[in-house]
Amino acid sequence: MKYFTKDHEWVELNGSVATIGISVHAAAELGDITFVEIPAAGKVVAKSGVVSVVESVKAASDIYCPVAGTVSEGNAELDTKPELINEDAEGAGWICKLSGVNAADLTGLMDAAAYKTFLG
Amino acid sequence: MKKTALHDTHVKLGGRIVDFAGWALPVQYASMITEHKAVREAAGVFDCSHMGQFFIKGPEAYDFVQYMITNNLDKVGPGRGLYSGLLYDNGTFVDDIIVYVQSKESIFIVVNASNIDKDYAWFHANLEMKGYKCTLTNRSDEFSLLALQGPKAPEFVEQFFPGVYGKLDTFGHAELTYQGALTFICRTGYTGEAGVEIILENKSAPALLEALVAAGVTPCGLGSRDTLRLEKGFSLYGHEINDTTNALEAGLGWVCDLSKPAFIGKDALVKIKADGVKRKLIGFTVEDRPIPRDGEKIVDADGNEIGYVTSGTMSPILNKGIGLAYVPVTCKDATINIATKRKTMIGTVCKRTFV
Repeated sequence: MKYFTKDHEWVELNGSVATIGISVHAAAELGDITFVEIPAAGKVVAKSGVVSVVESVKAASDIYCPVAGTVSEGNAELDTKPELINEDAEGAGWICKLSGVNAADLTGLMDAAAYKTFLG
Repeated sequence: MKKTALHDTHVKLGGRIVDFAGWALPVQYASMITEHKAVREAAGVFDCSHMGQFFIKGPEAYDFVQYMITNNLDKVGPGRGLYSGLLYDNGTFVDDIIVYVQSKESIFIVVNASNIDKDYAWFHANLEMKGYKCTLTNRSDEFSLLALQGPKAPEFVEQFFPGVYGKLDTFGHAELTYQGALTFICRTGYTGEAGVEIILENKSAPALLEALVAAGVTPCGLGSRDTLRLEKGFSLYGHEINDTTNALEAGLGWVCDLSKPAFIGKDALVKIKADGVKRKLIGFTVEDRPIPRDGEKIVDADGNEIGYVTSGTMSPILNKGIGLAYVPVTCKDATINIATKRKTMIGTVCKRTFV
């Protein structure tokens, strides 16, 4: 089950491993994505810390990590195909996986229905 | 937000509407990159109706405009036009504009959207002060402006306005009627490609846009208009030029005719030229990401600020970062250090025309 932040990131927790990315709404707002800074495995990220940078034609945006953890894998496919985020932001366009994630970090995030309401 | 006469058409065509200096306009339809390439390879159309049109008429219209602008109307006759600076007394920019000469008694100019009120006040105040025998009318709200651009644009102009394009020189314009609307076809643009800018009364603008799109022209948002102009190194008011940059350092000396007897800003430019220009506008490319953007600093080897980036974007044609920046005129290095928000990176200095 996905949870969303007010900054339009998503997180999906499976045990203590989280997968994160940006929402379909965010990808549409950014337009053509031309570069993604893929976080290196081993990088330790705090909750709300900058985990990646996504750049579109118009601007670069910091991506804030919805949960704390250690990067276990970045989505290497984004290196040559950053447009995957435009095509499938909440699926194949995931940005990285984090290990050692505490489920308590999900507190305060929105589920899909609440996020839809938030977008208005 | 203000809406252009084409607003409903944009929504119908799927444009993603954003606030563009107070105007609700599409930043893109499907994709900026696709729209950019359509203009480089085929034909695209942009709604630039937020831009302003002033009409100056009367026995001294020509003399008044000659006094106001940096370029020289004597270079062009009726039916032609030119690009020009509009300066303050100190040589910095009020705006950059296109001036179309219909006759010595009738001239119209196109100004930037964000400067309409300021430009009108500037023209009006100088007209009052100098007492030229002519009238000044701001008709910006009556007219739409569609920029039809790309190597295939002339074919579409021919289809819709037979026999017009071939008669127009660069900056030439023709007056005609399209579906009952007063229309000016102007051989100008902001993309570096062939094509025209069509200024027409609002009532027929939606029909023209829809017909152009139905004929195969790609509707383009203002996002690709910016990447297209930057690939050609064209200045944008508020970025390369504004009221803190003078026309000579902006590389626009070629539109300032210092041999004209008098124009606003001339004395300042003569002095700046005599004293020596202090900084220059350069082009740069970067291999690194994210790309430097407007306002980021150029630094020397010790990290001291020596200039700034005025525009930066990803070039869809070169597939790398390009930008423009002010640096000291003494800077002759092949590379510059750009201190972006996230890191300092190397830029390779190049001509301001990237594509």
